[in-house]
Amino acid sequence: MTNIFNAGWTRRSILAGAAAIATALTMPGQARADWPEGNMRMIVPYAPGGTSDNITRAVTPAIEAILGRTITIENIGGGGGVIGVTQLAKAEPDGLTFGFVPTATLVIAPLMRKLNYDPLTEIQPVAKVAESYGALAMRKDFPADTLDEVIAYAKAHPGEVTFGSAGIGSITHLYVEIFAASAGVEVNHVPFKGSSEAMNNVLGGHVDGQFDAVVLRQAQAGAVKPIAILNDERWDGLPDVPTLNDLGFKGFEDIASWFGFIAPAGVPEEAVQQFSAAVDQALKDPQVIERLAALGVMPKYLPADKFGALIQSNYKQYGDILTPLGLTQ
Amino acid sequence: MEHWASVFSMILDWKVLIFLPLGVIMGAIIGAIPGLTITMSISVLLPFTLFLDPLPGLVLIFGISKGGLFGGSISAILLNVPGTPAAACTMLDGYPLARKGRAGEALDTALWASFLGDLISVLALILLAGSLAQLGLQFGPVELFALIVFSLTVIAAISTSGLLRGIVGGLLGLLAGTVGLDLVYGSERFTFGSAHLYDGIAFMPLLVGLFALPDILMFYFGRRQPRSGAGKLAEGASRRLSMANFRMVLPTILKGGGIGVILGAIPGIGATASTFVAYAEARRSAPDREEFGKGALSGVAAAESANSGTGASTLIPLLALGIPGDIVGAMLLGAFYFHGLAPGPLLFANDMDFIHALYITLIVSSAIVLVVGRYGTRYIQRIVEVPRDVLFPVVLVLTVIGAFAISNSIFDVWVMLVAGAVGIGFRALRIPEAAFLIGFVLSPLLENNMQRVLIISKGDYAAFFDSYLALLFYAATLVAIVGRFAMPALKERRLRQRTS
Repeated sequence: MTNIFNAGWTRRSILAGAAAIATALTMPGQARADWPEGNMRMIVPYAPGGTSDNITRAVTPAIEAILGRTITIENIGGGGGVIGVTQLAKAEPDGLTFGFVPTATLVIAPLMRKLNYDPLTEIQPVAKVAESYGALAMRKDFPADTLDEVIAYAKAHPGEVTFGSAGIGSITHLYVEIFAASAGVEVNHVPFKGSSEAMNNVLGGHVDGQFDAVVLRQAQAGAVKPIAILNDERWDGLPDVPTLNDLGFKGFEDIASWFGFIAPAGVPEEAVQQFSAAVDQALKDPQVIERLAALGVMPKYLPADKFGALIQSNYKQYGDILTPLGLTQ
Repeated sequence: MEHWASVFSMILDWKVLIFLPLGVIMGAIIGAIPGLTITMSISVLLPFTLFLDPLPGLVLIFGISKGGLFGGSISAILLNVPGTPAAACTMLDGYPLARKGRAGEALDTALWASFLGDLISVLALILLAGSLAQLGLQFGPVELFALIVFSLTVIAAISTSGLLRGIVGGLLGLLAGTVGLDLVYGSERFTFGSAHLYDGIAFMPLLVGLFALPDILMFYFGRRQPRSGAGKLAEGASRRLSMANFRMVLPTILKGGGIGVILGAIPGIGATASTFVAYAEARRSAPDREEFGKGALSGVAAAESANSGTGASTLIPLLALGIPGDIVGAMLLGAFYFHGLAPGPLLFANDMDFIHALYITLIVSSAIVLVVGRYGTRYIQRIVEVPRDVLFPVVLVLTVIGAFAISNSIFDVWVMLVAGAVGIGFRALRIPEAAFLIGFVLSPLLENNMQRVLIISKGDYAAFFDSYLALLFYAATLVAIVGRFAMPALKERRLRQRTS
C-alpha cells in the first residue's frame, strides 16, 4: 500500500534521517540524560482559536493523562508565529518547555526572512502530529475538467489562469508554484489573507482555482470542480477524485503541510523520547482522532528522528522553490 | 407537527435554558473588560462545549459573542477604552456624549442598537441566508476596493477641526496601516527588523494608547480639573434615552443593522471595518449628522447596530456555504464538524430540526441581550461616579494588562505607550484621532484589494471599473465628496437669499 510516509521517502531524506540519528548518538554528553519532574509549558506561537491552537488543545489532554504531568498552553502570538518560536528556541532546554508549530514557522519563514533562530540547529523536533489535507479545485464554470485539461488550458493561456492562496509564503502558495514549475506552465498567483477569503473568491468566480484543504467540502457540495487530491491517499469524502500520484503527476511528494511538537535544542533525550511516545499513543485515542478530523487534519505521527529528517528535506525542497521566485532572504 | 415537537425538545433542554443567559452575561462582562477578547474566551471554552450536545454548546458560544458585542460598548462609552475591537467606532461618539453628561442616553442607545441590530441580523439569517450568501460572493477585490474608497469619505465628515487636519490624520492612519509584511512579496515594511511588527501594529494597544492614555496623562500632567467627584459624567449617568430621541435614532439603527448584515456576509471584512463602513453611510442621513464625532446619539446607534448586525450574518456564509466569515466562524465550523453536522446546503436538507432550533435560540438570545443590558448597565454605569483620581489609576493598570494580555507581549505595552504620546501630539495639533483610526483600519483592505485587482488584471487599471457594484460605490463616493463641498456653499447662498 502506498502511504504518505513510504511513498515519499527519498534517498536524501533517509540519509538526512540517518545523519540526525548519528549526530544524536555521538553527542549524548551534551544533552542531560534525565527529565526533571514537574509541570510543562506548551508554547503555541499563535493567538487562541487558530488551527495550531485548536490541534494543541485537542491532543494535549490525552498526553497529560499518559505522562501524568500538567501541560499549560501558552499562546505567544505575533510575527506570523515567529515570536513564539524564537522564545521557545531561547528557552531553558530542561524538557519542561515544548512548543507546537506548523510547517510555515519552522521551514518557510526562516527561508524568507532573517530570524533570531535557526530551525536546523536550535530546535529539537519531538513528534509530527498531523497533516493537512489538500486538493486542487477550479471554479465551477472553468473551461477544463481534468488535470490534463487544466494544464493544457494554462499552456494555451500563459499567465492567465489565476490561483488564490492563503498568503505569500503560505503552504498553499507553495503548492501553486510547485504546480506551475512541475507542469511547466505560467500561472498567476493571487495572495489572500487566509484560506476562507481565497475560497470565497473562487466561489464568486473572481479567481480560477485554489490548492487548499478548504476546497474539499465545497467540492463535496458541488460548488467547485475537484481536480486532484494532493495527498498520497484519496479523501474518503470524494472517493472518485484521483490523487496526483494516480495521475502520474510528480512534484508533490513529501510536501503535505504538517503540525508537530518541538523543543529547544539540548533537551534531555528522555524527555524527547517519552513525550514522542506519548504523542503516538494519544493519536490512537478515538476521541483525539475524532477531534482532529473535525479540525480538518489527519493524524500522522512521526517520531523525533524521522520528523527531523522531514524538516531537513522540506527546508531544502522549499528553498529550491522560493529562491528562483526571489522570495528567499 | 413531529418536526416542531423535535425542535422544542431540543430547545427545552435544561442545558440550553441555562447556557443561553449564562453565555450572554459572560460575554457582556468579558466584552466590557479591555484585554479579554471574545475570541480568546470562546477558544478556551470550545473544548468544553464539544462534550455537550450540539445545541447547548453552540448556544453558549453565540451567547458569549452576542453579549460581548454589546459589552464592548460599555467601556468604550464610559472610559474611552473599547472592550472589543468592534467597539472602537462606538467610542468616537459614545465618550464625547458621556463627557457631556449623557452617558445614560449613550448606553441606552448602544443597547437598543445592539438588540435591534442583532435581531435584524438573525431575521436576515433566517429569511435571506441563501441570497445574502450569493450577494457576498459578488464582492471580489474590485468591489471591495471601491467599497473601501467610499468608506474613506467618512474622514471628511468626522473632521471637526477642519478638513485638512482630517486628511492629514487619515493619511497618517493609512500609512501606519502599511506596517508589516507586504501582501505580494512578503517583504518587511517599517518593521525596523522586529518580528513583533510582522503582523502590523497591534490594533487594541494602538487604540487604547491613542484614545484613553492622553485623557489619563493630561489629567495628571495637564491643567488639573477638580479632583474630587466626577462632575458631569456622574450627573448624566441616570438620564435615560427619551422616546423622541429613540425615534430619531431608529432609522439609523435600521440602516446600520442592514449594512452590518450585508458586510457580515462577506468573509474577509470583519466586524471592525464593517462598523466603520456603516458609520460612514449612516452619517449621510442622520438628523444629527453635524454632531458626528462630537457626541451624536446616531453615531453610537450606527456603530453599535452595525457591529451587532454582523453578529448573526457572519453565520450566513458559514451555514449556507460552509465558509467561516471570521475566526469565531472558523471555530464554530470545527464544532459543527465534530458533531457530525456539515454546514453548507446539505445542512438545510438533512438537519432542518436543528436549524429551526438554532434560529429560535438565536432570537431568544437577542431578547436576553436586551434584558441583561437593561438591568446590567444600571449598575455598571455607576463606575462614572468613582472619583477620577481613583478610577484613572485602575483604568491605567487595566489598559497595560490588556495590551500585554492579547498576545502575552511586552512589546505591545510599548506600542500602547508610544500611541499615547502620538495621541497627545494629535490633540496638541488638533488632528482628529478618529480620522487616523479609520485610515488605519481600512488601510490593509484598500491596499491588498488594490494589489489583487492589479495582479489579476496584470496591471490593467481599467479593471477597477469592470463591475457595476464598484461603479455604484464610486458614484456614492463622488456624491459624498461633492456634498461635502457643495452643501456649505448652498447653505450660505440660502442664508444670503434670506437676509437680502
